[in-house]
Amino acid sequence: MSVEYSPQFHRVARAVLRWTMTYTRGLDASIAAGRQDEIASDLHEHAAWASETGVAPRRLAWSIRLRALRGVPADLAWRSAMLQQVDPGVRLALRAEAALLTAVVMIGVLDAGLGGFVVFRLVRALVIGDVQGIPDAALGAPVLGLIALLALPAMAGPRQRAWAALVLAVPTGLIFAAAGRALYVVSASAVLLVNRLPWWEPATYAIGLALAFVCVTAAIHWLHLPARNRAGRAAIVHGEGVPRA
Amino acid sequence: MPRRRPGVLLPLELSILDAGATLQAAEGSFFGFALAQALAGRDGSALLAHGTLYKALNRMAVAGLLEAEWEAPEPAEAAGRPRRRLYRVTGAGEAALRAAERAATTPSSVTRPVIA
Repeated sequence: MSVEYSPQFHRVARAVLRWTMTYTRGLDASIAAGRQDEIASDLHEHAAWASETGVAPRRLAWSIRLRALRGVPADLAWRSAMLQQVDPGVRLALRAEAALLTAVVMIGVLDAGLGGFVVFRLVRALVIGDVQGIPDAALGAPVLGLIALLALPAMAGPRQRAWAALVLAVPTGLIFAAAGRALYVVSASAVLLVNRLPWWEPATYAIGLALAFVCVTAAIHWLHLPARNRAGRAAIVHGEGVPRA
Repeated sequence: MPRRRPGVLLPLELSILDAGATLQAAEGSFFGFALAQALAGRDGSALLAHGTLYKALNRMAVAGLLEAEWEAPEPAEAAGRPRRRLYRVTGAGEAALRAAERAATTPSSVTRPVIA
């Protein structure tokens, strides 16, 4: 089978085109289309050359991945230069959109990190014999952290981003209080803190609900974005069409 | 990073002009991947990154050192591949390359300090 039709090439080509769609989002349509088509052409030519010279699919995929990764700073610099030509209102909207996405992703990372930390403390407590088994009160945070971890990759796709943010709102609202309860079982410091701060639980719920509100707001915003803006322009890959000028 | 002076070409841009002119002499024009291959073949390095290559080509086209146009759909359709964006080194690009080559071969006019 030719390397052009190998699953390794198709996977990496899709990833590179997705990245190209990401950094050309919001730019002038002809500029964005030009860059996307040029990258699609490059990917095809690279695969055709690999096929002629007998390069293995895995090696081709690795080479393409490296070329894409090494070019990321230049891609971002190019985007920044192109954004200077965009209307200031549009530029502001793009920056606000990027800030919202960053905020929601950071909340997801925080949730997942908190869940991971609780798992680490639980395992440690089991290993050193602080606890004999995992108490029910300690199970909530790892489960909520896992939900956040599963929702995070979905944030990458513009189509499912809104739903991922909605899902993320659930663990975000609950995980801080759940982590507090779990750590109360396995951490002496948490016991001290909880006993000294009787209002810790309402405070954790307040923080969680505030962050969950950010997730829900972002989800509503993304649900109301026109489908054209969310999906962007359909990428053109070999066999699925010919790029426009 | 310090801004470069206007009119000063980066080593990458000079390499692109040089390799591009060679490809152009043989094929009439050149496209991104062929250029990346030519550059890698000259110095034995890895293929130029997508971002670096196309950012430089874009910048050079805007500066008038290269001209770019999409090839006609027919040859691409006949070959079953996406259309290529074809580049040509312009007169200004050739002049810039020649000037850079001259500057590289001409000894520096800066007077060396005399040691007493």
